[in-house]
Amino acid sequence: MSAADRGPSRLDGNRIWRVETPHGPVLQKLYAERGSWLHAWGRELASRLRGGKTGTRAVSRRATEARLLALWREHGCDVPADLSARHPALANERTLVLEFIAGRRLSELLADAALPRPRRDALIGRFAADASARHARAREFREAALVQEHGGVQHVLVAPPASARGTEPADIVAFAAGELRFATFDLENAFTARRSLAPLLAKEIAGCVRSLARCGRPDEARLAADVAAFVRGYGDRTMLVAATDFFLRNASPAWRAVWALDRWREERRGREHGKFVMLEMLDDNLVHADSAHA
Amino acid sequence: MPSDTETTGRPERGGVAPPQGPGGGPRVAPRAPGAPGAPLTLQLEGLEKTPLAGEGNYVWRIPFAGGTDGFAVLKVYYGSRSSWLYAKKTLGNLLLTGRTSQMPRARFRHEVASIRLWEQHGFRCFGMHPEVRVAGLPDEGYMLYDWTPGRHFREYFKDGSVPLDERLATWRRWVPEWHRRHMTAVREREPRLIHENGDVKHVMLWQGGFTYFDFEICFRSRNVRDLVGREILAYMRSTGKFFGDELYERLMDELVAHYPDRTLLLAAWEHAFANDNLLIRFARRLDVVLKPRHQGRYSKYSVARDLKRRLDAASLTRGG
Repeated sequence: MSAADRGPSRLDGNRIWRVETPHGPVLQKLYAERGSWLHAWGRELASRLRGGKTGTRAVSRRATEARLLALWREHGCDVPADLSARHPALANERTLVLEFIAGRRLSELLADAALPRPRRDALIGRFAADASARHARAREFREAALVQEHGGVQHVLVAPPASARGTEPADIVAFAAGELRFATFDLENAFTARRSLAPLLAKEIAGCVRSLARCGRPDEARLAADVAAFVRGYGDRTMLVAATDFFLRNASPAWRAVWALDRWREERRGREHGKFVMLEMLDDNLVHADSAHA
Repeated sequence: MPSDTETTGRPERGGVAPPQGPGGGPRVAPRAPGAPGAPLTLQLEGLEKTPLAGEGNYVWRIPFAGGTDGFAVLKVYYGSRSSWLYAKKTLGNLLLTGRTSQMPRARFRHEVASIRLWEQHGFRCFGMHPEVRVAGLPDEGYMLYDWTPGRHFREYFKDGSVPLDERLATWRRWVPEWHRRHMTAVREREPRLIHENGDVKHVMLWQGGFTYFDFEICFRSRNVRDLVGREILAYMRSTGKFFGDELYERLMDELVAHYPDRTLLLAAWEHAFANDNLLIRFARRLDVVLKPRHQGRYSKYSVARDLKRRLDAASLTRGG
């Protein structure tokens, strides 16, 4: 039974439509509530109070995304342009009009088992380098909104460079990773500025590393190589060590209890490559790299 | 105008010429003899009157020098219904359904004001001749309109002699104009830009453009987005009812593909199932359950579900 049949009065989630305009295609994104009003309010309170994040109601998510798109662009991060002002017929209090980027998700590219290792390393390395540069800006400006609340390769669109407009997304293999556009999308939620940045950055790094395990059905060897490529691309080893320490060797009993609970949940769900498994892989990589360096 | 037949004197193949004037085509501009717009008084007696409407208003085609094919349309708002019926309908409109009055003068005023408003926004309606007086009829009780021998959507779209591709192209040309009116109505919070009696009987192809009529009653609510949703359902229901399932499906597909603002299309589903007002939402749920006719293929609820299913399928996040 579909959601529409169960609850015809609910939209239950966003809609994104491609709209052809005289200036080319754009995306019209409609922000809608998810679940019943009780769920929506419960999630809103949990997100704001426990998670230290922006609101999860449709109106909050729209406002957050509009704010973050502008902020990220201001800091030189590649995100879809907010074209709402240029398309008043499509923009309203429930929608944003966004640039249509003809590309493919990084997660789709990485899910291809036939992708050659050097190409794979280059794509992951570029993704990690972009994240690292953004994290450096976040620390410099003490701006929590520059930390992606649910970062990962599934929220990055890889597209041909602007100079090669008209190139088919399938042809992106023709470009070096450094030439491609890596545009981050889905910025509906953000951490609020009151929190210390270190835990937020650790969470995003954990999310990024875990997302590598969600691309297709990777084996251990492929994942280890992917993590190594991420470490090389990210560059700032101090940040990566801080992230693994935050989850695996946290001094705070409260955090340790939270992570123990998370780990237990993960094992109970039988996730083969959950967050902690991937963090341990990252940690191993950092330790081995350190010993090799020594 | 209330009649489905009053303007079908000369069938026209629509979708040929590009729009030329406000609303997509040149206005018919018949003039009384003498100076343009000069006052003219007609005598009702002795006029050769061809009735165009059924029940309700009296609508006649009459000879008119300078009119299209030498004709004009005289519409008399004091129609065949009894005063009691007008009063009863007025009470229902004002107290229950959020519409304007049914009384003759009120219908005259709303129709004239709506036509002026629609034309001001570039939507073509029947040209009016307020300078023409008719002896023996009460003031604000009648109006002389241009005789516009276009072709109703209702006839055009089910005409098998017009190639399907041509009909679909006409629909695709009309959909953006339809959207522009909806968008303008929402932006200006103007319920009079919503076609209260809107369906494929009240749009006409004329000289390559589109002509709208029948504005006697308007909605009063300022929740114009909801009214847009209602109007979309009314139009699409009428396509199913008059054209059959196959064409209904095609027109629905084309609508979702070419109507620019999908959120306004979604307003149709919201009108039926997700009204902001919980009381109205509850009443509509009851309506669906209690009235067997709402289980029909072209009930507004079925059409709303059809529309939402297509919008979901078109969404990049919930592709079917």
